[in-house]
Amino acid sequence: MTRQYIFLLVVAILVAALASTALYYLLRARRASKSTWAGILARLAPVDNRNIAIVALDLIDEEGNPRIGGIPELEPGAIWDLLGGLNGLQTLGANCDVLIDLAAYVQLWYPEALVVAEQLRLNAREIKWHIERLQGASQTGNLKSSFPDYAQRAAATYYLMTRRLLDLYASTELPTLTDLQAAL
Amino acid sequence: MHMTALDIFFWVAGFLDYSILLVILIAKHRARRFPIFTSMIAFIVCRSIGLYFVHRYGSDHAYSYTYWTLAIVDVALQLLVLYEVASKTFCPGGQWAPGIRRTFLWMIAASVAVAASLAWLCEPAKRTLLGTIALRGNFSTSVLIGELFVGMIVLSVTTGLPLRSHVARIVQGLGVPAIVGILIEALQSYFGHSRGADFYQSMSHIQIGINTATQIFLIVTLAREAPEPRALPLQLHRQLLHLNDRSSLALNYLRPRGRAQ
Repeated sequence: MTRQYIFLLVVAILVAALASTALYYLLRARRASKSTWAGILARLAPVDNRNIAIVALDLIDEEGNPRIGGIPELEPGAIWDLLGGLNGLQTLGANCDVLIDLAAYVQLWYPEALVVAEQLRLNAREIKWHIERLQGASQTGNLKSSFPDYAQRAAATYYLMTRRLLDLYASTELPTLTDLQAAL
Repeated sequence: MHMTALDIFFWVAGFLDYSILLVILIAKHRARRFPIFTSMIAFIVCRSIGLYFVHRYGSDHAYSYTYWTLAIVDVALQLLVLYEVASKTFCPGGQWAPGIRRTFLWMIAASVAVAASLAWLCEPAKRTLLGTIALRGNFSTSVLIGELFVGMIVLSVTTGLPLRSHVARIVQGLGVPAIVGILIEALQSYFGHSRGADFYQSMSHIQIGINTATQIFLIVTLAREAPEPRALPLQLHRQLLHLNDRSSLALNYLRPRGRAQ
Protein backbone atom coordinates (compact mmCIF):
# COMPACT_ATOMS: atom_id res chain seq x y z
CA MET A 1 0.00 0.00 0.00
CA THR A 2 2.87 2.32 0.86
CA ARG A 3 4.42 1.73 -2.56
CA GLN A 4 1.19 2.80 -4.20
CA TYR A 5 1.09 6.02 -2.18
CA ILE A 6 4.67 6.74 -3.22
CA PHE A 7 3.68 6.01 -6.81
CA LEU A 8 0.79 8.48 -6.72
CA LEU A 9 2.97 11.09 -5.02
CA VAL A 10 5.72 10.73 -7.62
CA VAL A 11 3.19 10.93 -10.46
CA ALA A 12 1.61 14.05 -8.94
CA ILE A 13 5.04 15.70 -8.66
CA LEU A 14 5.94 14.68 -12.22
CA VAL A 15 2.68 16.01 -13.66
CA ALA A 16 3.02 19.28 -11.73
CA ALA A 17 6.64 19.63 -12.90
CA LEU A 18 5.78 18.88 -16.53
CA ALA A 19 2.75 21.18 -16.56
CA SER A 20 4.58 24.10 -14.92
CA THR A 21 7.66 23.64 -17.11
CA ALA A 22 5.56 23.50 -20.29
CA LEU A 23 3.58 26.56 -19.22
CA TYR A 24 6.70 28.54 -18.34
CA TYR A 25 8.47 27.80 -21.63
CA LEU A 26 5.33 28.27 -23.74
CA LEU A 27 4.82 31.69 -22.16
CA ARG A 28 8.50 32.48 -22.71
CA ALA A 29 8.20 31.45 -26.38
CA ARG A 30 5.05 33.54 -26.71
CA ARG A 31 6.76 36.57 -25.19
CA ALA A 32 9.73 36.10 -27.53
CA SER A 33 7.46 35.89 -30.58
CA LYS A 34 5.74 39.12 -29.56
CA SER A 35 8.92 40.96 -28.60
CA THR A 36 9.41 44.38 -30.02
CA TRP A 37 12.65 45.55 -31.54
CA ALA A 38 13.19 47.99 -28.68
CA GLY A 39 12.43 45.29 -26.12
CA ILE A 40 15.12 42.98 -27.47
CA LEU A 41 17.66 45.78 -27.72
CA ALA A 42 16.98 46.77 -24.10
CA ARG A 43 18.32 43.37 -23.01
CA LEU A 44 21.80 44.06 -24.40
CA ALA A 45 24.20 44.47 -21.48
CA PRO A 46 26.62 47.38 -21.86
CA VAL A 47 30.10 46.40 -23.09
CA ASP A 48 32.99 48.51 -24.27
CA ASN A 49 32.89 47.75 -27.98
CA ARG A 50 36.07 49.69 -28.69
CA ASN A 51 37.99 47.39 -26.31
CA ILE A 52 36.45 44.31 -27.93
CA ALA A 53 37.45 45.60 -31.35
CA ILE A 54 41.04 46.16 -30.11
CA VAL A 55 41.25 42.58 -28.78
CA ALA A 56 39.57 41.07 -31.86
CA LEU A 57 41.57 43.08 -34.42
CA ASP A 58 44.76 41.90 -32.74
CA LEU A 59 43.81 38.44 -34.01
CA ILE A 60 41.81 39.04 -37.22
CA ASP A 61 41.00 41.82 -39.68
CA GLU A 62 37.55 43.36 -40.11
CA GLU A 63 36.59 40.67 -42.64
CA GLY A 64 37.50 37.83 -40.28
CA ASN A 65 40.73 36.88 -42.02
CA PRO A 66 43.94 36.30 -40.03
CA ARG A 67 45.55 39.65 -39.29
CA ILE A 68 48.38 40.72 -41.55
CA GLY A 69 51.61 40.38 -39.60
CA GLY A 70 50.76 37.04 -38.08
CA ILE A 71 51.31 36.71 -34.34
CA PRO A 72 48.97 38.58 -31.95
CA GLU A 73 50.74 41.36 -30.11
CA LEU A 74 48.56 42.04 -27.06
CA GLU A 75 49.94 40.85 -23.73
CA PRO A 76 47.72 38.51 -21.63
CA GLY A 77 47.33 41.16 -18.93
CA ALA A 78 46.19 43.74 -21.48
CA ILE A 79 43.57 41.35 -22.90
CA TRP A 80 42.34 40.62 -19.37
CA ASP A 81 41.93 44.34 -18.64
CA LEU A 82 40.37 45.21 -22.02
CA LEU A 83 37.70 42.52 -21.76
CA GLY A 84 36.94 43.07 -18.09
CA GLY A 85 38.05 39.62 -16.98
CA LEU A 86 35.75 36.64 -16.70
CA ASN A 87 32.73 38.80 -15.88
CA GLY A 88 33.26 40.77 -19.07
CA LEU A 89 33.38 37.59 -21.07
CA GLN A 90 30.20 36.29 -19.45
CA THR A 91 28.49 39.52 -20.44
CA LEU A 92 29.54 38.85 -24.04
CA GLY A 93 27.98 35.39 -23.74
CA ALA A 94 24.70 36.85 -22.48
CA ASN A 95 24.71 39.38 -25.32
CA CYS A 96 25.11 36.52 -27.79
CA ASP A 97 21.64 35.29 -26.79
CA VAL A 98 20.29 38.74 -27.51
CA LEU A 99 22.03 38.73 -30.90
CA ILE A 100 20.26 35.47 -31.74
CA ASP A 101 16.93 37.06 -30.85
CA LEU A 102 17.77 40.04 -33.03
CA ALA A 103 18.58 37.69 -35.91
CA ALA A 104 15.30 35.89 -35.26
CA TYR A 105 13.56 39.25 -35.54
CA VAL A 106 14.96 39.58 -39.06
CA GLN A 107 13.79 36.02 -39.64
CA LEU A 108 10.23 37.14 -39.00
CA TRP A 109 10.49 39.47 -41.96
CA TYR A 110 12.55 37.17 -44.14
CA PRO A 111 12.28 33.50 -43.10
CA GLU A 112 14.93 32.64 -45.65
CA ALA A 113 17.45 34.46 -43.44
CA LEU A 114 17.29 31.32 -41.28
CA VAL A 115 20.78 30.35 -42.42
CA VAL A 116 22.26 33.52 -40.96
CA ALA A 117 20.30 33.15 -37.75
CA GLU A 118 21.54 29.58 -37.45
CA GLN A 119 25.13 30.67 -38.04
CA LEU A 120 24.78 33.34 -35.36
CA ARG A 121 23.35 30.76 -32.99
CA LEU A 122 26.28 28.45 -33.62
CA ASN A 123 28.75 31.27 -33.04
CA ALA A 124 27.03 32.05 -29.74
CA ARG A 125 27.37 28.41 -28.73
CA GLU A 126 31.06 28.56 -29.60
CA ILE A 127 31.59 31.61 -27.41
CA LYS A 128 29.83 29.84 -24.57
CA TRP A 129 32.12 26.88 -25.10
CA HIS A 130 35.13 29.19 -24.69
CA ILE A 131 33.56 30.65 -21.53
CA GLU A 132 32.94 27.18 -20.11
CA ARG A 133 36.59 26.34 -20.70
CA LEU A 134 37.54 29.48 -18.80
CA GLN A 135 35.19 28.60 -15.94
CA GLY A 136 36.83 25.17 -15.81
CA ALA A 137 40.24 26.84 -15.74
CA SER A 138 39.14 29.13 -12.90
CA GLN A 139 38.21 26.06 -10.83
CA THR A 140 41.65 24.52 -11.36
CA GLY A 141 43.49 27.78 -10.73
CA ASN A 142 44.70 28.15 -14.34
CA LEU A 143 42.47 31.07 -15.25
CA LYS A 144 45.21 33.63 -15.85
CA SER A 145 47.11 31.41 -18.28
CA SER A 146 44.00 30.16 -20.11
CA PHE A 147 42.24 33.50 -20.37
CA PRO A 148 44.16 35.20 -23.20
CA ASP A 149 43.88 32.24 -25.58
CA TYR A 150 40.14 31.54 -25.18
CA ALA A 151 39.01 35.05 -24.36
CA GLN A 152 40.64 36.58 -27.43
CA ARG A 153 38.97 33.98 -29.66
CA ALA A 154 35.61 34.66 -27.98
CA ALA A 155 36.02 38.42 -28.40
CA ALA A 156 36.96 38.00 -32.07
CA THR A 157 33.94 35.76 -32.68
CA TYR A 158 31.66 38.25 -30.93
CA TYR A 159 33.14 41.03 -33.02
CA LEU A 160 32.46 39.07 -36.23
CA MET A 161 28.92 38.35 -35.15
CA THR A 162 28.14 41.99 -34.58
CA ARG A 163 29.64 42.92 -37.96
CA ARG A 164 27.58 40.23 -39.69
CA LEU A 165 24.44 41.40 -37.98
CA LEU A 166 25.01 45.01 -38.98
CA ASP A 167 25.60 43.88 -42.57
CA LEU A 168 22.40 41.88 -42.46
CA TYR A 169 20.34 44.79 -41.18
CA ALA A 170 21.88 47.11 -43.73
CA SER A 171 20.81 44.64 -46.44
CA THR A 172 17.23 44.31 -45.23
CA GLU A 173 16.82 48.07 -44.96
CA LEU A 174 14.90 47.84 -41.73
CA PRO A 175 14.35 51.28 -40.21
CA THR A 176 16.21 50.36 -37.01
CA LEU A 177 19.82 50.16 -38.15
CA THR A 178 20.80 53.31 -36.27
CA ASP A 179 19.51 51.86 -33.00
CA LEU A 180 21.42 48.65 -33.60
CA GLN A 181 24.66 50.43 -34.42
CA ALA A 182 24.31 52.46 -31.25
CA ALA A 183 23.63 49.35 -29.14
CA LEU A 184 26.49 47.32 -30.60
CA MET B 1 -20.12 -4.25 -23.08
CA HIS B 2 -22.85 -1.74 -22.39
CA MET B 3 -22.50 1.82 -23.68
CA THR B 4 -24.29 4.68 -21.93
CA ALA B 5 -25.71 7.72 -23.69
CA LEU B 6 -22.68 9.70 -22.49
CA ASP B 7 -20.32 7.08 -23.94
CA ILE B 8 -22.09 7.33 -27.31
CA PHE B 9 -22.01 11.14 -27.16
CA PHE B 10 -18.26 11.21 -26.52
CA TRP B 11 -17.68 8.61 -29.21
CA VAL B 12 -19.65 10.60 -31.83
CA ALA B 13 -18.05 13.91 -30.77
CA GLY B 14 -14.56 12.42 -30.96
CA PHE B 15 -15.22 10.82 -34.31
CA LEU B 16 -16.60 14.07 -35.77
CA ASP B 17 -13.68 16.10 -34.37
CA TYR B 18 -11.06 13.85 -35.88
CA SER B 19 -12.95 13.64 -39.19
CA ILE B 20 -13.21 17.45 -39.44
CA LEU B 21 -9.52 17.78 -38.54
CA LEU B 22 -8.62 15.30 -41.28
CA VAL B 23 -10.68 17.26 -43.82
CA ILE B 24 -8.97 20.49 -42.72
CA LEU B 25 -5.51 18.93 -43.04
CA ILE B 26 -6.24 17.74 -46.58
CA ALA B 27 -8.28 20.72 -47.79
CA LYS B 28 -5.79 23.27 -46.48
CA HIS B 29 -2.81 21.30 -47.85
CA ARG B 30 -1.34 20.77 -44.38
CA ALA B 31 -1.03 17.05 -45.18
CA ARG B 32 1.95 17.77 -47.44
CA ARG B 33 3.82 19.48 -44.63
CA PHE B 34 2.73 17.08 -41.89
CA PRO B 35 2.28 13.68 -43.58
CA ILE B 36 2.82 11.62 -40.41
CA PHE B 37 0.47 13.77 -38.32
CA THR B 38 -2.17 13.50 -41.07
CA SER B 39 -1.65 9.73 -41.19
CA MET B 40 -2.17 9.55 -37.44
CA ILE B 41 -5.45 11.48 -37.64
CA ALA B 42 -6.59 9.27 -40.57
CA PHE B 43 -5.66 6.21 -38.51
CA ILE B 44 -7.72 7.45 -35.53
CA VAL B 45 -10.76 8.01 -37.77
CA CYS B 46 -10.41 4.51 -39.25
CA ARG B 47 -9.84 3.06 -35.78
CA SER B 48 -13.06 4.61 -34.48
CA ILE B 49 -15.03 3.07 -37.37
CA GLY B 50 -13.30 -0.31 -36.97
CA LEU B 51 -13.84 -0.43 -33.21
CA TYR B 52 -17.50 0.50 -33.68
CA PHE B 53 -18.09 -2.52 -35.91
CA VAL B 54 -16.07 -4.86 -33.66
CA HIS B 55 -18.06 -3.61 -30.67
CA ARG B 56 -21.36 -4.08 -32.48
CA TYR B 57 -20.75 -7.42 -34.14
CA GLY B 58 -17.76 -8.97 -32.28
CA SER B 59 -17.19 -10.38 -28.80
CA ASP B 60 -15.79 -8.53 -25.79
CA HIS B 61 -12.55 -10.44 -26.22
CA ALA B 62 -12.29 -9.42 -29.90
CA TYR B 63 -12.96 -5.81 -28.95
CA SER B 64 -10.32 -5.84 -26.21
CA TYR B 65 -7.77 -7.50 -28.50
CA THR B 66 -8.45 -5.04 -31.35
CA TYR B 67 -8.41 -2.05 -28.99
CA TRP B 68 -5.02 -2.84 -27.45
CA THR B 69 -3.45 -3.83 -30.77
CA LEU B 70 -4.49 -0.53 -32.30
CA ALA B 71 -3.32 1.29 -29.16
CA ILE B 72 0.22 0.08 -29.90
CA VAL B 73 -0.03 1.48 -33.44
CA ASP B 74 -1.37 4.73 -31.98
CA VAL B 75 1.63 5.09 -29.64
CA ALA B 76 4.06 4.34 -32.49
CA LEU B 77 2.37 7.03 -34.62
CA GLN B 78 2.51 9.56 -31.78
CA LEU B 79 6.25 8.98 -31.46
CA LEU B 80 6.64 9.41 -35.21
CA VAL B 81 4.65 12.65 -35.08
CA LEU B 82 7.01 13.81 -32.37
CA TYR B 83 9.92 13.04 -34.67
CA GLU B 84 8.17 14.90 -37.50
CA VAL B 85 7.68 18.11 -35.52
CA ALA B 86 11.16 17.81 -34.00
CA SER B 87 12.74 17.52 -37.44
CA LYS B 88 10.83 20.62 -38.60
CA THR B 89 12.14 22.57 -35.63
CA PHE B 90 15.64 21.26 -35.05
CA CYS B 91 16.73 20.74 -38.66
CA PRO B 92 16.69 24.36 -39.83
CA GLY B 93 19.15 23.79 -42.67
CA GLY B 94 17.79 20.41 -43.72
CA GLN B 95 19.94 18.51 -41.22
CA TRP B 96 20.04 18.37 -37.44
CA ALA B 97 21.52 21.51 -35.91
CA PRO B 98 24.91 20.68 -34.32
CA GLY B 99 24.60 19.59 -30.71
CA ILE B 100 20.82 19.27 -30.83
CA ARG B 101 20.65 15.65 -31.90
CA ARG B 102 22.82 14.54 -29.00
CA THR B 103 20.75 16.54 -26.50
CA PHE B 104 17.57 15.16 -28.06
CA LEU B 105 18.84 11.58 -27.73
CA TRP B 106 19.78 12.19 -24.10
CA MET B 107 16.30 13.59 -23.53
CA ILE B 108 14.75 10.44 -25.04
CA ALA B 109 16.96 8.18 -22.90
CA ALA B 110 16.07 10.10 -19.71
CA SER B 111 12.36 10.05 -20.59
CA VAL B 112 12.44 6.29 -21.21
CA ALA B 113 14.24 5.76 -17.89
CA VAL B 114 11.67 7.83 -15.95
CA ALA B 115 8.74 6.15 -17.74
CA ALA B 116 10.18 2.68 -17.05
CA SER B 117 10.84 3.52 -13.38
CA LEU B 118 7.29 4.75 -12.88
CA ALA B 119 5.87 1.71 -14.67
CA TRP B 120 7.88 -0.48 -12.29
CA LEU B 121 6.67 1.49 -9.26
CA CYS B 122 3.07 1.22 -10.40
CA GLU B 123 1.11 -1.78 -9.12
CA PRO B 124 -2.03 -1.92 -11.24
CA ALA B 125 -5.18 -3.02 -9.47
CA LYS B 126 -6.00 -5.32 -12.41
CA ARG B 127 -6.16 -8.99 -11.52
CA THR B 128 -5.33 -10.47 -14.93
CA LEU B 129 -1.87 -10.55 -16.47
CA LEU B 130 -3.09 -8.98 -19.73
CA GLY B 131 -4.84 -6.18 -17.83
CA THR B 132 -1.71 -5.48 -15.77
CA ILE B 133 0.53 -5.38 -18.85
CA ALA B 134 -1.97 -3.17 -20.69
CA LEU B 135 -2.27 -0.68 -17.83
CA ARG B 136 1.47 -0.54 -17.19
CA GLY B 137 2.19 -0.17 -20.91
CA ASN B 138 -0.48 2.47 -21.36
CA PHE B 139 0.77 4.44 -18.37
CA SER B 140 4.44 4.32 -19.32
CA THR B 141 3.73 5.46 -22.90
CA SER B 142 1.65 8.38 -21.57
CA VAL B 143 4.59 9.38 -19.35
CA LEU B 144 7.07 9.00 -22.21
CA ILE B 145 5.04 11.05 -24.70
CA GLY B 146 4.23 13.74 -22.12
CA GLU B 147 7.89 14.09 -21.16
CA LEU B 148 9.10 14.20 -24.76
CA PHE B 149 6.64 16.90 -25.79
CA VAL B 150 7.57 19.07 -22.81
CA GLY B 151 11.27 18.39 -23.44
CA MET B 152 10.88 19.49 -27.03
CA ILE B 153 9.27 22.77 -25.98
CA VAL B 154 12.11 23.41 -23.51
CA LEU B 155 14.78 22.51 -26.06
CA SER B 156 13.29 24.76 -28.73
CA VAL B 157 13.20 27.78 -26.38
CA THR B 158 16.65 27.24 -24.84
CA THR B 159 18.42 26.62 -28.14
CA GLY B 160 16.80 29.53 -29.96
CA LEU B 161 15.07 27.36 -32.57
CA PRO B 162 11.46 28.50 -32.29
CA LEU B 163 8.46 26.28 -32.96
CA ARG B 164 6.72 27.81 -35.98
CA SER B 165 3.00 28.56 -35.81
CA HIS B 166 1.41 25.27 -36.99
CA VAL B 167 4.17 23.11 -35.49
CA ALA B 168 3.66 24.83 -32.13
CA ARG B 169 -0.10 24.20 -32.27
CA ILE B 170 0.44 20.49 -32.98
CA VAL B 171 2.88 20.21 -30.08
CA GLN B 172 0.39 21.90 -27.75
CA GLY B 173 -2.51 19.84 -29.11
CA LEU B 174 -0.71 16.56 -28.42
CA GLY B 175 1.28 17.55 -25.33
CA VAL B 176 -1.61 18.78 -23.15
CA PRO B 177 -3.72 15.58 -23.38
CA ALA B 178 -0.56 13.51 -22.86
CA ILE B 179 0.23 15.28 -19.57
CA VAL B 180 -3.37 15.01 -18.35
CA GLY B 181 -3.29 11.39 -19.50
CA ILE B 182 -0.40 10.62 -17.10
CA LEU B 183 -2.54 11.61 -14.11
CA ILE B 184 -5.63 9.80 -15.36
CA GLU B 185 -3.73 6.62 -16.21
CA ALA B 186 -2.09 6.72 -12.77
CA LEU B 187 -5.45 7.02 -11.03
CA GLN B 188 -6.89 4.24 -13.18
CA SER B 189 -3.85 2.07 -12.43
CA TYR B 190 -4.09 2.81 -8.72
CA PHE B 191 -7.80 2.23 -8.29
CA GLY B 192 -8.49 -0.09 -11.22
CA HIS B 193 -12.11 -1.19 -10.88
CA SER B 194 -11.93 -1.28 -7.08
CA ARG B 195 -14.02 1.89 -6.89
CA GLY B 196 -16.47 0.46 -9.35
CA ALA B 197 -16.79 0.79 -13.10
CA ASP B 198 -18.25 4.28 -12.72
CA PHE B 199 -14.99 5.76 -11.42
CA TYR B 200 -13.00 4.11 -14.19
CA GLN B 201 -15.48 5.38 -16.79
CA SER B 202 -15.48 8.89 -15.32
CA MET B 203 -11.71 9.06 -15.68
CA SER B 204 -12.02 7.89 -19.29
CA HIS B 205 -14.68 10.54 -19.95
CA ILE B 206 -12.40 13.27 -18.57
CA GLN B 207 -9.60 12.09 -20.86
CA ILE B 208 -11.92 11.93 -23.89
CA GLY B 209 -13.31 15.38 -23.01
CA ILE B 210 -9.82 16.88 -22.94
CA ASN B 211 -8.93 15.10 -26.19
CA THR B 212 -12.08 16.54 -27.80
CA ALA B 213 -11.26 20.06 -26.59
CA THR B 214 -7.73 19.84 -27.99
CA GLN B 215 -9.06 18.53 -31.31
CA ILE B 216 -11.32 21.59 -31.55
CA PHE B 217 -8.26 23.75 -30.76
CA LEU B 218 -6.32 22.01 -33.56
CA ILE B 219 -9.20 22.35 -36.02
CA VAL B 220 -9.42 26.10 -35.40
CA THR B 221 -5.68 26.80 -35.41
CA LEU B 222 -4.76 24.57 -38.34
CA ALA B 223 -7.61 26.00 -40.43
CA ARG B 224 -6.00 29.44 -40.10
CA GLU B 225 -3.17 30.35 -42.42
CA ALA B 226 0.31 30.92 -41.00
CA PRO B 227 1.66 34.48 -41.33
CA GLU B 228 2.73 35.14 -44.91
CA PRO B 229 6.54 35.39 -45.24
CA ARG B 230 8.18 38.00 -47.44
CA ALA B 231 10.26 36.85 -50.40
CA LEU B 232 14.00 37.09 -49.91
CA PRO B 233 15.50 39.41 -52.56
CA LEU B 234 18.20 37.77 -54.72
CA GLN B 235 20.77 40.40 -53.77
CA LEU B 236 20.21 39.78 -50.07
CA HIS B 237 20.43 36.04 -50.60
CA ARG B 238 23.82 36.42 -52.31
CA GLN B 239 25.08 38.66 -49.56
CA LEU B 240 23.95 36.22 -46.88
CA LEU B 241 25.83 33.39 -48.60
CA HIS B 242 28.91 35.60 -48.85
CA LEU B 243 28.69 36.51 -45.17
CA ASN B 244 28.42 32.86 -44.19
CA ASP B 245 31.46 31.94 -46.24
CA ARG B 246 33.49 34.69 -44.60
CA SER B 247 32.28 33.69 -41.16
CA SER B 248 33.14 30.02 -41.70
CA LEU B 249 36.66 30.96 -42.76
CA ALA B 250 37.08 33.16 -39.71
CA LEU B 251 35.80 30.50 -37.34
CA ASN B 252 38.14 27.91 -38.81
CA TYR B 253 40.98 30.22 -37.91
CA LEU B 254 39.62 31.02 -34.46
CA ARG B 255 39.08 27.43 -33.38
CA PRO B 256 41.88 25.89 -31.31
CA ARG B 257 43.98 23.37 -33.19
CA GLY B 258 42.70 19.83 -33.25
CA ARG B 259 39.13 20.81 -32.42
CA ALA B 260 36.48 19.28 -34.69
CA GLN B 261 34.41 21.75 -36.69
